[in-house]
Amino acid sequence: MLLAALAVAKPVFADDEHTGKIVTVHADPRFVDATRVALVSWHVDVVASEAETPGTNLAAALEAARRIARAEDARAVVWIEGGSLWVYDDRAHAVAVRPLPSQPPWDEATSAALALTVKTLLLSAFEPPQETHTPLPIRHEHETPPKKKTPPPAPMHTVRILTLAGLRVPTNASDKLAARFGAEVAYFPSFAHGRAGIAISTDAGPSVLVEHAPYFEGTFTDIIAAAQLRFRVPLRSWLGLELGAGPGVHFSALQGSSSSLGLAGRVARTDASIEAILGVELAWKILRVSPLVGTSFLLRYQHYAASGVQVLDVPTAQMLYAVRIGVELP
Amino acid sequence: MQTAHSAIATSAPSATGSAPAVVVPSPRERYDRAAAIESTHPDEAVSIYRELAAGEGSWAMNALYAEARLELERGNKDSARKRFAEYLQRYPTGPNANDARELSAKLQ
Repeated sequence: MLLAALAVAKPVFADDEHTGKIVTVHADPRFVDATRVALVSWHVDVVASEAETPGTNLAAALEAARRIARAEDARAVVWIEGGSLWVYDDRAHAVAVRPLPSQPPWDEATSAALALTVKTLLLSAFEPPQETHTPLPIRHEHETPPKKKTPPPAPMHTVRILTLAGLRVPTNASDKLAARFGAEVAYFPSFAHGRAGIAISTDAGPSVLVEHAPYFEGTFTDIIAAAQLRFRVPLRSWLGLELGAGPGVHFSALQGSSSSLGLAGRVARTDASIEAILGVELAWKILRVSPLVGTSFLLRYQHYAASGVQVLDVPTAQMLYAVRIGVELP
Repeated sequence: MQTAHSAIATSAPSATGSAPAVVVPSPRERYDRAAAIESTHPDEAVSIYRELAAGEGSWAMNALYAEARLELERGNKDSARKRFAEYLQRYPTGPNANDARELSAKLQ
């Protein structure tokens, strides 16, 4: 497929007219010059921009790069960030990423090598529409003309690994707040362009105190596991909203004793729930920090009693106020 | 963009009347020249890249990859395959090694 793109790319660039423009954002001047040299045979204008770089958050970067491309009437946007070269193809609305051979500033030869990588990645960005393909003048006659349009640069899928710390309220127990700590792994597949994904998460915390003197004294523990669909709405290169919802399971247990009734024991339950979150995601390189609000809606009523005396009525809906910190990896 | 002929200039005669000195274009100038004529004179571009690639240093490395990429663009798959292989053999950790591996794999 790539060969098809390589073969059909030439006629477009063989014209005398300029056939397109790319924007380099906050790039090293040597790299910009080297990119101009590499693309001069394609008659592509290379324009240096001082706009804010699209960043490294894939979903946000796609949107930011698209805005830059549209504002500059460019087919592609190139920027350097997070130790990588990023190339956005506006036609495909996709981004390709390559690790840098070294950190800038680069010498002329290294800049030229990096420009060759840009040229390699940009082939599909400047490929003509399928219906306008013309035979390649310098292609060997025995070769079959390409018939399939090449795929755009493959967008990345990302994996996010986060830890969480926060509070759940209300508890309906003697401790009014429940400290919670958790972890989450989320996967955002390439075909969703970083906007949608799935996450599995769990959170737990120290037991909360349950006191109903003189009838009962004990503790309540609750471990929650959930699987959610996640949707991200990029607002800036470094800022986005995240929504999530899905099924969950509460593994809860009440244990304690009643001195007046002469009882002691432990009861455990497993209950289904609906879990949802709304978060604000801040991105810096691969680091992700996300204040969030969540809710957990139990699908079964949890009512605990000791010899007919109600000792704990677990709230059907609980709120979670937390901060997640972690990394997003391509 | 400098042309091949203007890149080789002669200096003004010295006061002593000695023979004019020939200014040989640098590898970078030759590389830029080849890049500029890829679409209009691809055979000449390949020739320049090949001469540069026969040497040593960073511009030889860049020229070898540029030649392989251009050959692929021209549809000369066998030549491109050989050049990518040569690049990876000579510069396995070169700045375009990942590109060469990717394109080479597409050629298999």
